[in-house]
Amino acid sequence: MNALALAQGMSGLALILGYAPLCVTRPQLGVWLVAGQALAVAAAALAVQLPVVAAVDALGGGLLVPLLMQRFGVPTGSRRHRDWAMPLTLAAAAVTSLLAATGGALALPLAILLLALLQIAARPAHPVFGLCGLQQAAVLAACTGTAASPLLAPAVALPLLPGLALAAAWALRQPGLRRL
Amino acid sequence: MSWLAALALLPLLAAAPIPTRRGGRLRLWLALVSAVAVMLAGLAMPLFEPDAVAVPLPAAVLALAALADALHAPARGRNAALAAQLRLAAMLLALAIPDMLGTWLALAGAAMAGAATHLPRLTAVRTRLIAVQAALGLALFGIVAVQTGSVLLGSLALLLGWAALACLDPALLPLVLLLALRLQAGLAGAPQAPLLGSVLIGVGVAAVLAAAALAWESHLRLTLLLVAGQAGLILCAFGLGGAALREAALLHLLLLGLSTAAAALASPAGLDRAAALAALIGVPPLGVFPTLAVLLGALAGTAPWLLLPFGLGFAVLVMVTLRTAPHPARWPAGSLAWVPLVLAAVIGFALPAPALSWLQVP
Repeated sequence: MNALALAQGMSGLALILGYAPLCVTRPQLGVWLVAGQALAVAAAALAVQLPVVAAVDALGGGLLVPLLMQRFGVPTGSRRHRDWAMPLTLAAAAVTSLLAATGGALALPLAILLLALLQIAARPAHPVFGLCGLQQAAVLAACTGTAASPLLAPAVALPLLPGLALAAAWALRQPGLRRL
Repeated sequence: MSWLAALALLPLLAAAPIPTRRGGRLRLWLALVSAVAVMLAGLAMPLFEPDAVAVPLPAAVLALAALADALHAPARGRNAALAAQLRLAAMLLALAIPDMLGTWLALAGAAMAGAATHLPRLTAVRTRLIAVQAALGLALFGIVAVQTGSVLLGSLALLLGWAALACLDPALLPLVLLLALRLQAGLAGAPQAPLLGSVLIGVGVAAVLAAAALAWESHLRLTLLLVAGQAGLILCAFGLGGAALREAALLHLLLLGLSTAAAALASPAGLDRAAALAALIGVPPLGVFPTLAVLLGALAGTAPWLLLPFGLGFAVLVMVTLRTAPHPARWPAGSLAWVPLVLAAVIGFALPAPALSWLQVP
């Protein structure tokens, strides 16, 4: 199979897996979806001959972060999902799909970015899934074009955003922070 | 810029006694001493090290932001006070690191620490952390896009992410403005550099109009909205380019920091409060007036159409300020707010020529 076609196919799969958490209410299912999205982006990186990026993203976003969420629980937001916002959310998500159809090197990463922001805004009970999507959008963008530094893509592939979210959630559970 | 990184040790030293001591007054004094120490050390550094000419301005503006923030929340708890010192250290590191990704990591630390200054109100901290992390994600995407060649999309994402961080934590605003200037300097040789200038102008205009609209809706947080309006003018000046305009914008940032500190030190309903608000607007001869005149004159000469949104925005801000200004004004005894106001007047009208070389960003 043509490598470029494989990369585009995997990027498209990552986009679809970015839609899915919008409809999910069970956090365990969301964990599987973000793991799948990370593995799809890793496969796209491998197809464009960036094995280090693929390995880092697969291990970090595809394995480590989901394992940590399974072990310590999915960090929750401060508000519940708003069910009445679902039709609007899905309509906005459909509009972002137009971006993916416009072409351009950053069309798909930008669409994944906007979906992730929509996830954080419209599904506030589990914003960590949106943060995982933001990370994967940055990784996918780093795999397109030619970066000024060869270290940029592998560095961006590290699960920085989900890591910050998990660390913050752990810190907020410590009893010392509840005291003045 | 190892000298800026060395300055980051000062707030860490001030943070060391915080976990082991009780008493909100001591924590406030530690915060004030830390900010003043950073400012004085930064100003003194070029006297001992000629290579450190780019240290005084960032040290001064970041220290003034930390000072104003400490005065706005004088009764912080232990964890919140510690977070405020860590934020100042991370802000200095963010400017010291030349690499964009390293700067992003330091900025992430500063933003997360800024959210933690609302402890022990866990709900407020959790909500802010989510918004901060989303803004950081947008900025990360922007960094990647800029470094892979998509300057327009990348700079827009980066500036929007940084702007969101500054809205969530106003103490980060001077850092964000300095990072925007550094981004522009880094892309100076790129063929798409004029696009970045247009983006900066657009974001600057949006900032002043948004500040005016929010002030018209509600005069709460008026000081922050006045600062946001002036920050929009600074971004616009960066976007227009040119060494003279850049120096004027950096001096405007310094005078804005002094005026903000004056507003934080002022009593709620005294003449000093009215003077501080006048300094933030740029009423002559107070506060930002000298550089405001220079910047508006430059706009009139370079891009006269920009005077319309800025004129409208500042007019609304002035009207709201007059509506909410304290009256009858009482003369407070021994108000410290006059100190930064006098300093701003001296710097604005009588800055020595050799000090102009300090108006640069690492």
